[in-house]
Amino acid sequence: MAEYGVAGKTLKVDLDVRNLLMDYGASGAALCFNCGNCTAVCPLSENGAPFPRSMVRFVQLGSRQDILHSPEPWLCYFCNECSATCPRDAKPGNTMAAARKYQIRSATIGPVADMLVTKKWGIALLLAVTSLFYFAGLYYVGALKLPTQLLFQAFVPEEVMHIAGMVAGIFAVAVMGIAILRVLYWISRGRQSRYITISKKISAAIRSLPLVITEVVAQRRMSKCETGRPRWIGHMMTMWGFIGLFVTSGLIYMINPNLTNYPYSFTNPIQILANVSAAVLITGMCLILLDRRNHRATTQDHDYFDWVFFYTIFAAGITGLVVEAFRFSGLLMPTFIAYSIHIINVLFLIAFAPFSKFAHVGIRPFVIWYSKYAGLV
Amino acid sequence: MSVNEYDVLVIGGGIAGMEAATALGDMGFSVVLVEKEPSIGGIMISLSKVFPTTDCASCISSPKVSTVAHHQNIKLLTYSEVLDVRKENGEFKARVKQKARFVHPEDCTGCLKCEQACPVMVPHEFNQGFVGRKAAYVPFDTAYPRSAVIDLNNCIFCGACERVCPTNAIDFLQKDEEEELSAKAVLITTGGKLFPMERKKEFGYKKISNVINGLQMERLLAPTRPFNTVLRPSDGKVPGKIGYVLCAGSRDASLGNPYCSRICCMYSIKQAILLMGALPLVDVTIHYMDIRAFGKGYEEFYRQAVDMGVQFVRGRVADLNELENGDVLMKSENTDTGKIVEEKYDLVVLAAGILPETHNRTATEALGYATDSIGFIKPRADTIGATEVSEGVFAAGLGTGPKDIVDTIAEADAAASSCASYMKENFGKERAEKILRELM
Amino acid sequence: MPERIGVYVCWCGGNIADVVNVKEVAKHAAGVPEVVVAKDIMFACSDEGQKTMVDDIKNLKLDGIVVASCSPVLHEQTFRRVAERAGLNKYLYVQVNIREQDSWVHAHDKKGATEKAEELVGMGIEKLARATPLNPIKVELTSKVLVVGGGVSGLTTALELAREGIHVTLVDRDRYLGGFVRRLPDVNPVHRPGKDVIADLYSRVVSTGNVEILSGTDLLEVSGSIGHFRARFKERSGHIRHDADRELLSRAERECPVEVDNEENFGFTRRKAIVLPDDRVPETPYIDMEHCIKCGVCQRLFGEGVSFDASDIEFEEEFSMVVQSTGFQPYLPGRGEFGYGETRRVLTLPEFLRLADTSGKTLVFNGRQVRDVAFVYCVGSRQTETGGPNTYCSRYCCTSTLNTDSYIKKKFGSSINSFHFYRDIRAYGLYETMYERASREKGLFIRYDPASPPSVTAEGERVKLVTKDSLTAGRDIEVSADLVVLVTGMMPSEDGKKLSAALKVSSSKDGFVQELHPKLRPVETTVGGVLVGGTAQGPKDTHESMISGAAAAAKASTLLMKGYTELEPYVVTVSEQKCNGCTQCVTECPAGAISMVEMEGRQVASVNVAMCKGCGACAAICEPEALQLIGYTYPQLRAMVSFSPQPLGAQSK
Repeated sequence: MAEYGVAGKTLKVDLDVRNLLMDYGASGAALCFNCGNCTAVCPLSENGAPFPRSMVRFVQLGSRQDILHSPEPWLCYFCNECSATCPRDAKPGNTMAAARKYQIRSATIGPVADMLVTKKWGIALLLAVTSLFYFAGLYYVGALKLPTQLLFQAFVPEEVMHIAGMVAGIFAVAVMGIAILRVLYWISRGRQSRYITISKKISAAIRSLPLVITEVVAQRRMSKCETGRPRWIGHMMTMWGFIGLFVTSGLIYMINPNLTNYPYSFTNPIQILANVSAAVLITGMCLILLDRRNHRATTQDHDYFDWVFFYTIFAAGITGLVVEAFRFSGLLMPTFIAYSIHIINVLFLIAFAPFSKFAHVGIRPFVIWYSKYAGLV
Repeated sequence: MSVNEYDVLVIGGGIAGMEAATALGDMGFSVVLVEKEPSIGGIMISLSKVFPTTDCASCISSPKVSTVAHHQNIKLLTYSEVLDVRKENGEFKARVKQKARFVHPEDCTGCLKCEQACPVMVPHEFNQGFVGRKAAYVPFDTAYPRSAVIDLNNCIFCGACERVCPTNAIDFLQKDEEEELSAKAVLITTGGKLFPMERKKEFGYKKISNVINGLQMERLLAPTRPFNTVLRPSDGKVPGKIGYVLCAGSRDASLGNPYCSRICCMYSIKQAILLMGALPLVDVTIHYMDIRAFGKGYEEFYRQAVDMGVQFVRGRVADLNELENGDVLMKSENTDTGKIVEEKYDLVVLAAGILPETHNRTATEALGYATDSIGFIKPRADTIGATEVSEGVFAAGLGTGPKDIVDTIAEADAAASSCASYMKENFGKERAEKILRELM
Repeated sequence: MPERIGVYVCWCGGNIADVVNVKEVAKHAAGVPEVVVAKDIMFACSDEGQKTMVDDIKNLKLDGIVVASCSPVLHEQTFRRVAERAGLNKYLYVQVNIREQDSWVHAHDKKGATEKAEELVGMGIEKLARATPLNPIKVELTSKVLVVGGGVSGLTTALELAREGIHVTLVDRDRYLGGFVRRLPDVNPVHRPGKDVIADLYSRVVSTGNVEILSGTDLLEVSGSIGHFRARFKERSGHIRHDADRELLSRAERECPVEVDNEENFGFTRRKAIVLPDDRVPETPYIDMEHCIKCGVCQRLFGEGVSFDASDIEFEEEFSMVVQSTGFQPYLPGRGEFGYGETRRVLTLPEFLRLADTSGKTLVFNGRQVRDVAFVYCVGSRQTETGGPNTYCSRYCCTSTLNTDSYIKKKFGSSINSFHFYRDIRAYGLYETMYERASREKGLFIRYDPASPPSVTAEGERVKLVTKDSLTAGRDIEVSADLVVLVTGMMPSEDGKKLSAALKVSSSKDGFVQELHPKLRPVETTVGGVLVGGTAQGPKDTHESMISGAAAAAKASTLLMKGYTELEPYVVTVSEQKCNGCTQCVTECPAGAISMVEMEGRQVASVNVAMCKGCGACAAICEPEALQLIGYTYPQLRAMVSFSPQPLGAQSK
């Protein structure tokens, strides 16, 4: 069940936190007159959470602690039924999104996140840094020259790829890992479980796993919202498409680190996996885009933070296909350029991941696990 | 067509129109009161009791009806509509259509024989559709004029009514009559109507049988009620648990009505008190956002309801669903506790808000008054405490905004006063001369 | 004395008939010899019911009717008009109350209620059988009205009446008109300063030429009845000529050595002993003799125009009608109530408005800039839980506070943060948009339970408010602010209460003037000829006060245009022969209508018919039965009291 915070503990109103959250996208939070319609309308509220109003109220009061201690932003699926029926047009869905953003920001490196999340030039800066990093790496191994043959290893030596990937990856995993731990810590402080003995805790944790799996694999609770089915399908496809591509890259790294016979032919099973994944990914994203167009009036306001995430993944998929197309056409320069863009895109995606909406990939499963464990859902 | 001259044209014969017409008539002005329904009385005459005195509504409004009916200075045109009204040379000219009743009111005694003989039954608007009326009918018990009307849209022309009428008052060949009027001033008291709750899909109004609106509950409680007690529509069961949904159709951006309708808190509390009296075992719960008991004696009335055991739960109702046995499942958040409330009710009443009656707006458009986004008539720009909406044109009652009976009466009297002042200032000498001529 | 009586027993839908067997009652009444016809009617007050009675009176040549129905309070006039229309003297009609006095109070004893109804109707017939035709007492009305109180409501009443050609005397104790509204910096919904609104009204009033304005005048005494109210005024001298030259006045003000707190601004600003109108109306200056030290500086400038010893002028005038527009007084919190008077950072809303109006570009209080303002609603109103006397809602406060919120945010910019500690936000009707605006402008709303209101404590230079917030499931919320504004309610004015007492006007339970009918007659009082407008009748905002004032004007002009009014003939007559001169009646009479006069060498009682209210207290106490109340004579009363119902059939025709 949602809680309005720890009883007996006085909540000090902090308008600065409120204003920051409003900058983060909770623009309508002040309009809310606390009628409770959103909470009652929420299709997921039968299980006790999420409660849009509690989030909005905490934002109104600027209660940093309560916002950070709440699992609701991670349990919400942003179906926006709440915003559609809000009598004040206060868009509680936006506040939920802003709260999630705020938790990510607080869990990662705050100032860096602020820069990336609220300042548009932050993204540009990160993109520039990634590009610089990429070109510097090439220069370091002496590969910073125009290619002469249509060979990916000639474009970018595999060592550079691996190092770049590992650095970005370790950075991302580290930040993400810390973020997960911090979020879990806050939520556990806010919503304590009732288990005392270690064995009880372990058995409860194990019993909670099935929900995590169904949510991660199929986002089953998301399908509860009737108007959101296209969105649910789109997201599933995007996710599985992305996982497919991720697995492909991993497989290649593991079984063919020197990239012999690379690029593969179309009939190669790994190549097939890659192409199918890319197709699924792009189709999924198109479905999401279409859904957003159709529900323009009631969907949450997707700010640039949201669109950057969306388009980064979209671009990664598209550029990958473009590279493949150019490769098969045999054009050298276009393929090289497209390949560079694709690599920078992916590196940026990895580095940006823990600060962006992408962070939900890491944080959410754990929060769901804890929530189930503590009996919140 | 003859042109009839009056001092004031009052459009709308509800409590505001009747009060203003009476005030002006008492001051000596000649008034023509045009009402589109077959009877005057408006909404008030169909109500049960009024808050906070719990006076019987039709008891306190029928003397007004009677006064208007017999006032020597008031010409009453019922079942009539203003087709258009415009200003010409400082005075107002209007075309009024008197719709054919197919009955001659001066011959009709209101004996109800035609009603008994008529074979056609349709839902009775006055009783909010709970019971039926005939195609040949007298609008309601305390109607004035107490004359039958034939609803030609549903009449099957069997002639049964004509045959049994003892005074031969029925005339199927009666035609609409048009007349031209002139007036020095116009007073718009066209009233309001309930918000059409079917627009809020979540409430299932008109789909779920046991979800009714405030006016329907008024009829169930009124002295001229259709049934002997309060019943619920689906199976006639006497409800044991009744839920009220406040702010239905009001304070709602998603429905396009940002206003509060001002009377719903009070009329719901009043109905709850009456229900506690009529059905001793009933539980009544009112789901609200703010209780707006702001008028004289209203806060005390609210306290009385609390003391009588009416439950008040803060939290706006999100949706209503029908259960198999006809019960209604209501979902809301109890904002005091933060918990979701799923409550089963035998009967749910939507405290529907007020919209202005815009039935014939095009007829009065030429008068040049401004309206707001909902359609309420606005006073002249930058004025305060004024009922004048355009030069020589005044408005009072629900047409200018939702309000209760007290505020309607005050506004109607204020409009009468301003109207009288206006006429005195603009036509004073003319009037004095006319009286002189009449005396000579 | 009626010999052909018609009896009509009303069903009142189900209100009566559900309990009382009306058909039985009618049948029973038909058995009485004088009763020619006895019927039961569904709704006696409906036009059909009335038509039945009119027709019967005409066709059956009835000379008296008894209607057994609801209370005369509702329909006495209705049925009197029925009698008149049928050509019957309207006082040969008796109404028997078998609803409020029977069916509504004996709902569980149908048999008993029916028997009681039969008895009541029998008594009514007895009374009617001994009644005589009466004529109302006609009182001539001249077109002169006294409006007491020159606030926004009184000014509107005066304006409307004056426009209709009626002469008005408008009196206000204050030297400047406009009452409470005058001091508002922003009047909703026109958003202009109160002074402007008042000045506009005033100039319109003056241009009618029909209003005598007595500002700075005390109403010492008022008495009388409709058509003949006598008022005694004392016009307080201003000690300086009304039309003093402006430039000289400015100079005098500069040079005046005395400086005191300006009460107009609660002491936030200062003024001199010589006071200039400063955009107030009427534009007459005055010298505040309480503080003036008679140094003579202004005297040197104006010569004879200044007179320290000028005396007040007393005079009397007569009026046909009086309108009470005495307004309200703001609730004053007790010391320590939400920190008022103890913590130096707590003001009432009226005080805060003056502070805001007299501040420059930034809001400053006690030398510090104010950024965070906390409003606490419902102070002095809705006091049921706290046991205070004011259980009513003061109606105007929620919207006034929301308006104030917008006003200070507009004037002082985005540096202002506001907190609203409320119980219910009563931004009713179209005013809901003001609530939406306050939310949009980031006002924070916190809902408190009256049983545990916010605590206010000083914290350094600021204030700390702590309360349980019902919007956060009862959590304790703490707010830090620079200033706390208590949104105080309206209370009935003390001067108003004195005026009501003098005119014998009743008050409602909440202390405000009681209106004749709470729903249908909001501007008339229980005393004929006395009307009430504005907040004297109950809390309301500026717009509503003006509407109320105009409504009072309508009621007044209705009577005045007719030129006369009719009083009930139920007054007391004196039989001088029987009177023994004991003078008990003189003291018993609550209206002061009886005096002793000399007749044939002895003292006998004499009744002033215009003042007699027909209560009958004097007649009750008169031993020799020299005093008799017309319409309730001793023979009538004795017959009613000694009447006992005969069983059906046992009556002889």
